Amino acid sequence: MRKLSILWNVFVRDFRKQAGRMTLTIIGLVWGTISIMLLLSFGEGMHHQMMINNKGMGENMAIVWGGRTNKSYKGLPSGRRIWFHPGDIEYFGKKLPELRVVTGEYMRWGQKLNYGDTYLNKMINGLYPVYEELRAHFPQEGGRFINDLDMKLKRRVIFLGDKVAEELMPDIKNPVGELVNINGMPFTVIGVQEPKQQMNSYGPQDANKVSIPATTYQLMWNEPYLDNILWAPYDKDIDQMDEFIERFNEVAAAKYKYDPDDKVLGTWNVVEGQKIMNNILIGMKWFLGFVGFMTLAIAGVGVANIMYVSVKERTREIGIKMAMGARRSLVLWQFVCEALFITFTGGAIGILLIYCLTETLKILPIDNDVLNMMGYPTVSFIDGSIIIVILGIIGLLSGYFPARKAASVTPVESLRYE
Amino acid sequence: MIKLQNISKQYITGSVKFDALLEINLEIKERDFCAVVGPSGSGKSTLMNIIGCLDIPTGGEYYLDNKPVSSLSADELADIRNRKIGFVFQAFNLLPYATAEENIEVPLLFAGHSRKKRLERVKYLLEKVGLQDKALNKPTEMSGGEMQRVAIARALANDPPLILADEPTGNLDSKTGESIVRLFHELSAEGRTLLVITHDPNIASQMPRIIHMQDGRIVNSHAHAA
Repeated sequence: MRKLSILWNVFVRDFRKQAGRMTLTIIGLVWGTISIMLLLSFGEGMHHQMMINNKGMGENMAIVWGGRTNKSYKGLPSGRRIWFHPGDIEYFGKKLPELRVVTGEYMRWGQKLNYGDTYLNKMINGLYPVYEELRAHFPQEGGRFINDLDMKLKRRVIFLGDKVAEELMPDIKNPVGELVNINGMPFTVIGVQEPKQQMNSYGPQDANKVSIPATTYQLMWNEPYLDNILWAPYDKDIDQMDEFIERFNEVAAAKYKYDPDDKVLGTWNVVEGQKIMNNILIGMKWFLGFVGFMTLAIAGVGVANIMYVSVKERTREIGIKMAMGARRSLVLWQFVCEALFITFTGGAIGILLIYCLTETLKILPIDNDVLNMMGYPTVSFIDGSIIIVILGIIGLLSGYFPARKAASVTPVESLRYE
Repeated sequence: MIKLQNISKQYITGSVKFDALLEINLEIKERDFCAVVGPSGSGKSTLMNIIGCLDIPTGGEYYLDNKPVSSLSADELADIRNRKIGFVFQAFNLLPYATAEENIEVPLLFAGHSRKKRLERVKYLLEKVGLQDKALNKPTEMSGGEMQRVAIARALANDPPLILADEPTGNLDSKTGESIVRLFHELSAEGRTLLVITHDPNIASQMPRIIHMQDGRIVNSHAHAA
C-alpha cells in the first residue's frame, strides 16, 4: 500500500512536469486508434448493411425452374419440356414433408397497368400468401399482403411494389383502397411493399413488381404452368440444402418421368449465395482489420519509439532518482504506468471520437444510394476491446523494456550518461 | 562506520583493462570529516561511488555499519542511499524540470513520507540553506551556488548520517565555494560524517582529515590538528 502511494506520488508529479511530451504521444495514439476504428466500423457497417441487402429477396430458400430433358428415358424422347403445374405445390409438399414451405409463382410480363391516366407496362405476379414471409414482401403500415380469403374468393386485389406505387400514383399518400386496372380490369389496392434493399433478383426488383392472388391470376389468364417453385427447409436444416435439392429432383423426376441424373431443373440455392456473401464479407472484414492492425502497429511503433527515446533521455534522471534512493521496481513501474496511461488515454479518446462520429452520422438525415449499399459505420464492442488489449500490450512492452534496461545498471552508470 | 577491505575496481572496455582502485583499505569513523584529494583519474570519484553504494567494487569487501555491502540486495542498497547517505555532486544533478522545492522533495517521496511531512521538511531545509525565496525556481533560474545549496538540502532530506560530496565547489567561484564549505562545517558540527572530494588544497586544509590518492591507491591518510 505504501509502495503504491509512493508510485502514485512520483507518477503524478513527473507526469505533470512532462505534459507536453505526453500530450504529443497521446495524440499519436488517438490518430492510430481512429484509423483502425474507422476502417473496422466501416467494415462492420458495410457487413451489416450487405447482410440486410442480401436478405432483401428473402433467405434460406431455393427457387426451382423447369426445363427440357437432355436424355431419352423409359421410351420417352429427349427435349421434352418439364414445367411445373399449380398442383405440384401440394404434391411436393406431401412428398417432401421435411420442407417447411413449398409454394410457386406465376409471372406475366408486359401487362398494362393504369391508375386514372397514368399507364405503365409491368410484370404481374400471381402469388400465394406464404410468399409474403418467404420473399420478404412486407406491406407498409396500413396495408396487407394477399391472404387466404383472397385466394379462396379469387378476389381482384393487388399488392404494389413501392416503386410501382410511386410511379403510378405519386400524389396519393396512402394507395390502399384505390382502384388500379390491369388490362382494363379493376383491382383494389390492399397494400404497398415496405421499401427494402435488394441485391439479388430473378425478374424485376420486388419494388417494381405487381402481385395478385394466384387463383385470380389463373382465372384471368387460364395459365396451366407455374413460372417456378419456391421451397424452404426449416431454419435448423439449412445445412442440408444440397440433400433437399437432390430429393426434390428425385420427386420431380419420378413425377415427370425423366432420368434423375439428367440436369433438367434449374435450382437457385439462395443459402449458397448467403454463404458466399458471408464469406466475402468476413474476408473483407479480415482485410480491413489487417490494414487497421498495421495502422495501429505503426502507432504502436511510434509509442515504443517515444518511450525508448524518453527513457534514454531520462537515463540521467533515472540515475539521480536511484542515487536518491528510488528502488529499481519504482523506476520500472513508473515508466510502465506512464506508457500504459498514454496508450489507454490515447485509445480511449480515439474510440470515443469514433463513437461520436458514427453516432452523428446516424443522426444526419443522409439518404443516398451509397449509404444504402454501404450502411452506416458501426462501432463494434468486440473491435473496441481487441484494440484496447493490443494497445495495452504495446504500452506495457514499450514502457517495460527500455525502463528495465535503464534501471538494471548501477546508478553511477546512469548518472554518467549524457 | 565505513570500512573498506582490499577494495578494487576494474573497468574493462573491450580488451583494455583499467584499474580505478587497487586494494584500498580505509576506515572512516562516525563524525569524521575527510577531504579526499588527488590528481584527476586517481580514483577519488570511484571510491566515493563505492562508499555511496552507487557502484559495486570488483574486489574486496565494503562494510557499512559492520554489514558487508555485497550481501545487500538492490532494494536494500536503494534504501541505504535514501536514508543513510546524502550525495552532493559537482554537476548538481538536479531534476531540470522540477523546482527547488520539488527537487528537495525527491528523497522524501521515495521514503514514503506524507505530503504534510514532506512540505514541512522541505520548508525547514530551504531555510537551513538560505533559499526560502527560491522555493519555486527551477534549476535554470538559479545560480550555481543556489543550485548546489538545493542539492545539499536534498542530500539532507532524510537526515542521513553520512554526506558524500564529489567536488561540490568544482563548478563554483571561490567565494561561493567558501559558503558551501562553511555549510559543510555546520553539517559536521551537527555530528554528521562527511567525505568531500576536492581539488582545492585550500578547502582540503580546512578539514580535519585528508586522504591523498594516486593511481588508485591511498598514498597518505592522515589527520591533522583541526
